[in-house]
Parts: sequence; structure tokens; C-alpha cells
Amino acid sequence: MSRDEDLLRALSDLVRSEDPWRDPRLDDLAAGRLSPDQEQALLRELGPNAPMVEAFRPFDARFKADLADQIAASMRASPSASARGGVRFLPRRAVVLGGAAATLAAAAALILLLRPHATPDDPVPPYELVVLGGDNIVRSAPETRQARTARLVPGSRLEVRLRPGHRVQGSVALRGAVVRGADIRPWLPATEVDPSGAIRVAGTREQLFAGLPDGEWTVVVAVGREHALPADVAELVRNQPSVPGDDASVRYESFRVMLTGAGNE
Amino acid sequence: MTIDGHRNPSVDELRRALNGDRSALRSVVDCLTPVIQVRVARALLRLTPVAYSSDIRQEVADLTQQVFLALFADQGKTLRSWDPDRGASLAGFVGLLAEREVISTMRTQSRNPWSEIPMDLPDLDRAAGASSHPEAGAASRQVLDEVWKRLQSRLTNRGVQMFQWLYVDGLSVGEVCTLTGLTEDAVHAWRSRLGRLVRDIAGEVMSDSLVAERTAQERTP
Repeated sequence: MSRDEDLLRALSDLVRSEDPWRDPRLDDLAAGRLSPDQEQALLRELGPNAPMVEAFRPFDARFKADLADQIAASMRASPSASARGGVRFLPRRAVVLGGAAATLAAAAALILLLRPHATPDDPVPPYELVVLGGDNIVRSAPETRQARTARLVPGSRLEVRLRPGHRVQGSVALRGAVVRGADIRPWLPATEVDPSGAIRVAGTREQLFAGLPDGEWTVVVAVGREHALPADVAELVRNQPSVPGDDASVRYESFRVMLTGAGNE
Repeated sequence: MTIDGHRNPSVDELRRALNGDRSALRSVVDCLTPVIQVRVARALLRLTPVAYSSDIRQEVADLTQQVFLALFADQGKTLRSWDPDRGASLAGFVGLLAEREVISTMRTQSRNPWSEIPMDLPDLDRAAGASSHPEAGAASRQVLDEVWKRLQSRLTNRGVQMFQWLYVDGLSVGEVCTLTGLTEDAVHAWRSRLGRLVRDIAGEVMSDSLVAERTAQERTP
């Protein structure tokens, strides 16, 4: 072995020995194999870096079960899941949305129109719905697309993203409703739409569901050409198809929220 | 079976998961979650200054989720491309893809070192200079500490990351190509020039120590 190789090997050994994150006990921690005593020893050795150990603590069974559900849903959707729509639930905020959603101002309006030069009769692509937030994700019937419910206590944040399978040509609008049994009300969140046609709704429980009593509600949203959107919320809920067509000018998605803790059931 | 200390799903289990078997999918997720989590966490901690990682657990959770969805996208196209006969363990294969996903995601963020303007290779050459060959075999811990300190100060974060992958982690050129999207030639060039820079810095450090030693001897009555 050459002296250069000796030097590089020695230097690499040094770097390895000084990197606290290479400690194999962190693998054990993530795999749930580290005893409390071993963990305490690890924390002591990490000193000021100890808080970062949180990155390695094992995820619980619910996290993994939700993950498996998401994967199964995406695989069921089709080889090109994102192009055919589908629902993904992520626990709180997830991937960076990117700057596009912030390029247009939020509008607290039922209908938000974009690009008035758009061709009004073009079908819109299928949308993927991503719901992030809530203090817990409650799973009920795991095989259904609307299987999970975001639990929202006072102050909880929720973010809803609707992403088109491909860039939308023309203007799109969003109309929403919240439903519990026969109780159907309009959903009027502040909405951001980016030039690709992606839509984002975000806010606290109080901002998004002001005045709504505690309990489980289904949120139904329709995205599409303004002229094609249902005229009222009852029609919106009634029109929601179980199997969307390939050539639609309106796309429907839904998810559930469980509002708790406000004491106004 | 365990790999890297983690239980490894069997090939059959993986195949069944990819074919839609829910029980096998759960098992694969159980097995691979810690593998991906650790790889994501290490990559994040390496790429992100600790001071900015106030919500590190959430970042790791988000990215772990993202890696899984990427692995199973298009009916698991990426996972199906893993071939145990090629030698890479499933954990190694998945870990590499997890790290690539982190880098790809971090590229979009300003704190990502890969978004910085990289040090051009000619600059690296100039930094390497033409100092004398060190007596590497005699390099002491103190000398190595100093070499590492100077090396970090002369490289961008990208250069340090390259050194980590190529020398400290011992990744192959192909693996680094996978991680960075660079060509093999470019990675070979990095490897060669980093090696030369280390050698030259070590030469400087040894030379500085000799001068300091002589000065100390001359001052001794």
C-alpha cells in the first residue's frame, strides 16, 4: 500500500471516529434494540448533540401502518398513480411544497379563478389529494380511499393540497362542502392556486372550520372549470362520482376530519 | 436474516409485497423503516447544520415517507430493479436511494450545501499546489487532525461531502454517480484531486511542524 493510501486511510479513520452519527448504537436505537441504560450512555457521550437523537428514535406502529396504507393506495391507483389522482395522508407537514403555491395570493373565496385567458371547456386532469396535519391520523376502514380521519383539536393546523396529474391548461376553480349526515354546509377556506393548477388550503381548525360543531365531518371538494362546477353544495355532494371519468371538467376528492375539544357538539 | 443489524425482508416477501400482498407489505415496511430512517437521519445531519435542525424528527419522518413512496412508485419499479445477485444488499440498495432522495430534496433548499456554487476542479488543483510529498506513514493523530481541519477549510461543503463518500464511506464511483448525478469521469476527477489535495496539505502540515520543532530547539539553551 502506498504512503498516499496510508495517509488517506488514516485520515478517513480519524473522520469516522469523530463523527458522532456513525455510532452503530444509533442503528440499534432506530431498530428498537437499545436498552434504556445504553441509551443514557449514548446521550451522555453525544453531549450537546444529544437532542438530535430524536432523529433516530423508532417510529411507532401507527406510523408504519399508515405508511403501508399509503404505499398500497399508491400501488392500487395505477402505474402512474400521480396522474390518476388518489389520496395520500401524511402526518403533519411533509415534503417542501415549493415556491409555486406562494406565488399567488390567498383568496378567502368560494371560487378562485386563474388565468382568465384559459380555454373553458378543456377537461382537467385527475388531481391527487394530500392531507397533512391534525394531531393524530385516525384510521378507520383502511381499505377505502377516505379511510383516515385527521383529528383536529382547537389550534390544530391542517393543510390540504390538490395536485393535478399534469399542468392544467386553463382556469380552474375550487368549491367545497362539509358534510355530516344530512347536514351539508359550504366549505369556504382561503385558497392558494399556482399556475400549474395545484391548489393549497392551509390553516388552523378555527380558520378552516369556523363555527362547525365537534364531530366527524366529510370534506368534499370539487376542482374544475368554473362553469362546470356544481351550482350549490347539495349538488356538489350529490354529484361526487365513485369512479371519475377520464374526460372530466370537474374532479372530486374527499377526506374526513374529526373536530374535537371545542365543546360545541 | 439481518443486514446491517436490521432484519432484512426475504426476496419472496419483497416480491409478494410488490405484488400487492398487504401482510408482506407491512412486513417490508417494518423491516426497511429503520434502515431508511437511519440513512435519512445521517444524511440530514451531515447536510444540515445542527443548529437549524430544530424539527429534525419531523424532517426524518417526512423524508422516510418520501423515500418509501419513491421506492414503490410505478408499481415498485425502483425496488424491482434491485437484484440480490449483483451483490448489493437490500439495505445497502435502499439506503443509497434514501440518501439520494435526501440530497435531491435538499437541493431545493437554500441551506443545502449542494446548492452552493461548487469549487471548480481547476480551483481545487490550485489549492492542492505543489508541495512536497509527506511522510504519510509517520502521520500522527495531531497531524491528521490538522490535515482534516485544513482540508475542510479549503473545500466547499460539496467537496467535504465528496471526500466523505469517496474515502470515509468508501462508496464506489458508481454509487457516488447515483447519489450526485455526476458522470463517472467527473467522480474519478474528484477522487484524484481530493487525494492530491490531502497529500499536499499533509505535506504542508508536516513541514510546518518541522519548522516549529527546529525553532523550539534553537530557542532551547
